[in-house]
Amino acid sequence: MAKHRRVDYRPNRHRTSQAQVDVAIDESSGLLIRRHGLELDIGLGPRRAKPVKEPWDELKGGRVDKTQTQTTTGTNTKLFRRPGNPLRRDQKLSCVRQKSCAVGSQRHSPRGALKERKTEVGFELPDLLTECRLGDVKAVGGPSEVQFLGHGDEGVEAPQVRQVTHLQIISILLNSLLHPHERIGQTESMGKNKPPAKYSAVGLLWRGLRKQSWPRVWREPEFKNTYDVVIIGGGVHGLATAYYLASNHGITNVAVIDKQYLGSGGSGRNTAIVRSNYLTPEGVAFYDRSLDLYHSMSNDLNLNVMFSERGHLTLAHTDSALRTMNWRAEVNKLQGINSSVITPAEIKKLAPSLDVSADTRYPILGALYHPPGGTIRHDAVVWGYARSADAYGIDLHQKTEVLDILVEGGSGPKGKGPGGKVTGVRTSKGDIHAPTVVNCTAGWASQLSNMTGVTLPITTHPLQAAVTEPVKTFLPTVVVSGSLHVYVSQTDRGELVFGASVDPVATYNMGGTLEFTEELAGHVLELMPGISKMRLLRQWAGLCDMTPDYSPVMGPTPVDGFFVDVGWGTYGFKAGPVSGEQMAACVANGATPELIKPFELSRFTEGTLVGEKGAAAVGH
Amino acid sequence: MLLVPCPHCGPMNAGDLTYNGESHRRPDPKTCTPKEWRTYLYLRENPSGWLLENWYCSSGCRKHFKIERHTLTGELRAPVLPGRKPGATQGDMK
Ligand SMILES: Cc1cc2nc3c(=O)[nH]c(=O)nc-3n(C[C@H](O)[C@H](O)[C@H](O)COP(=O)(O)OP(=O)(O)OC[C@H]3O[C@@H](n4cnc5c(N)ncnc54)[C@H](O)[C@@H]3O)c2cc1C
Ligand SMILES: [Zn+2]
Repeated sequence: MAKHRRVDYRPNRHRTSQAQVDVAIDESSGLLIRRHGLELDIGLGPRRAKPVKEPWDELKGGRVDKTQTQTTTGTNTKLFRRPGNPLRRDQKLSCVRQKSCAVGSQRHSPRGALKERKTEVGFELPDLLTECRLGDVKAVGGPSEVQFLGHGDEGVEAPQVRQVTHLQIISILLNSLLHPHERIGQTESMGKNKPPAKYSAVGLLWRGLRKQSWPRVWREPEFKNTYDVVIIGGGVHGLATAYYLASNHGITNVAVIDKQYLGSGGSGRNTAIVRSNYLTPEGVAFYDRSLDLYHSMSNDLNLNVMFSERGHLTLAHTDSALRTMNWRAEVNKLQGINSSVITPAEIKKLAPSLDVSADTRYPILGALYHPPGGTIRHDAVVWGYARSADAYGIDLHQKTEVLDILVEGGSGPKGKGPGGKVTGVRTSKGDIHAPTVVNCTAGWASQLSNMTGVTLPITTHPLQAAVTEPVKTFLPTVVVSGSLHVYVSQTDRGELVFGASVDPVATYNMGGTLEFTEELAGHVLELMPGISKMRLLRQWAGLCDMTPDYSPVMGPTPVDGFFVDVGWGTYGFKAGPVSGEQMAACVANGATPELIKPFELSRFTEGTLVGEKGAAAVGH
Repeated sequence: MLLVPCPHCGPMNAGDLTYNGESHRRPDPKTCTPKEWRTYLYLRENPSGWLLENWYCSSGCRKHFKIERHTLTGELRAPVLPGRKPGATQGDMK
């Protein structure tokens, strides 16, 4: 309680005058869209003569004003396109983001600083926008609107974007009307099995009008006794691995086994933040590849994952934190990642609801700003991978618990342990023979690995999160504060999503605690005093598999045929695609790919840790 | 809220103690290999069930002590340590 009171009585909370705000808006035309946020901030100022109604007052009962949301969320009204033509399936492995090609030259680029790569497609039709998002403009729009100027060796170029006109939107809709069965963003090389059903705006309308229900999205397969590969854990990592095994390597005799439902673990519980501004070169390269894959995911999987590239702010409240931010910014720039340290004034422009005044208990001294960071709808990612993997003929067994992993010839008890060889798994539905087993069980990873006699450097801690009632959008970026152990973002629906760092005591219990909520509230109000009247809707927890260096454990283990993709802690969602891609390559080729070499289990006995704590402890 | 009994101060809020994780036997740093030492440093059983743990009464008596905790249900019980009577409250960690 004390925390709250101190915030409420503090004088001079809001120092920005309306004139200053107008100037800020004029100076940066891109911020126009965030005007509402600015007004909100001013409106809550204690000295304002005419009190402004709080936006959520109008929204009691959880209703969100749709048009408002769309015109005020910077993120909703932006669509980001990749350079070049829409991605085809067989292109996916090539370097699609120009930046990655330019990395080498970027280091020597005289320009140094990176240009922002994201491009805005200015929509004038907020209502049609929803349709377009559903139908996925990127995929159906025919030739791309994005043109790329110049070549990689000039550093990173800013793609040029044409406005999407009414006509184009109509043509998009017509297009999908004329070719209702055409698969989006997929080529015939995709696979031997049936492609996933196509989702389109017209299909949605058609079913809506006929009140038709939707068919099951993936099969409920028969239980089989042999597979080439068994993947344990139906989260984003397990499903992505299965998908890439099929799509990149043609291995389709694969089962994904989950003891509950797909996405029941961290993959359906996370706060969906993606970014690549990590601290070590290994980490940066890895997470950046993941962002690349996320960029083309809606096309690849024909499911809109609602990637909202809204920018990511990591606040520094102390000199030492600021130093770490500068360090991270330099590491990032060297790798061609758009990341820089910005001042409190700039922070205020980006996220006007933050209290950047100097008289707070933990004054904001600066922030690491990472424009390509943002949020993605996590369920959509899980479902997208599941649907596509299923279409390749991969069996997804839900409600099937792995009770034991069968190993022969190992040096430990019962023939398990180092030197052994995997022969299959024992599940609640029966035994499965398989020469290869991949452990993708995140929070439960130790239990599964212990079944083979492999000990992991992992402890399981719960991470809690909470969400408020929906209000009009006012927070355009993701805001993370390491010192205050909190991060916050606003969803497209207008809810504020809060997260923190993991609970300190290891447990497999997913209950929420009051301590979390209390601490969270105090810290959030420290950052944004204006939201003190908002109400929490609910809180929840998920299990995180924490490693000592805050980096994952990937690749082979001392037991032949047993692979791990674990240790994902609080940062595994953003890494889902790249982990799947690399693990699939690892399993298919029998050799660890370069990108994940630094994350092998052996680093712990060799003492070559990849310390990411400075970049990953709170800011998932 | 987890209440952890400190042998000295009685039940304490877990937040007032420091959690030091799984209890291991530390190898002798003079004689062990780097591999053994790193195994001790990093690798964990991390079971879902009873676990012998180290706690430190950081805002109380500043004693280290051991306790057994069930990592799923949160139940606590006095550990059975070598050379001690079963059920006796634990002492400090050597
Ligand atoms: C509250 C919260 C917020 C987070 N926020 C972010 C974020 O903003 N950004 C980010 O990048 N990451 C975030 N994370 C981390 C991220 O969610 C996880 O790292 C990621 O989801 C791990 O995915 P996974 O597929 O490896 O495992 P999971 O999704 O956890 O899946 C593991 C699966 O294994 C299954 N399983 C377990 N044991 C067995 C068994 N014996 N037999 C069969 N199946 C079994 C489980 O049922 C589960 O479905 C967050 C996590 C939490 C909890
Ligand atoms: Zn004590």
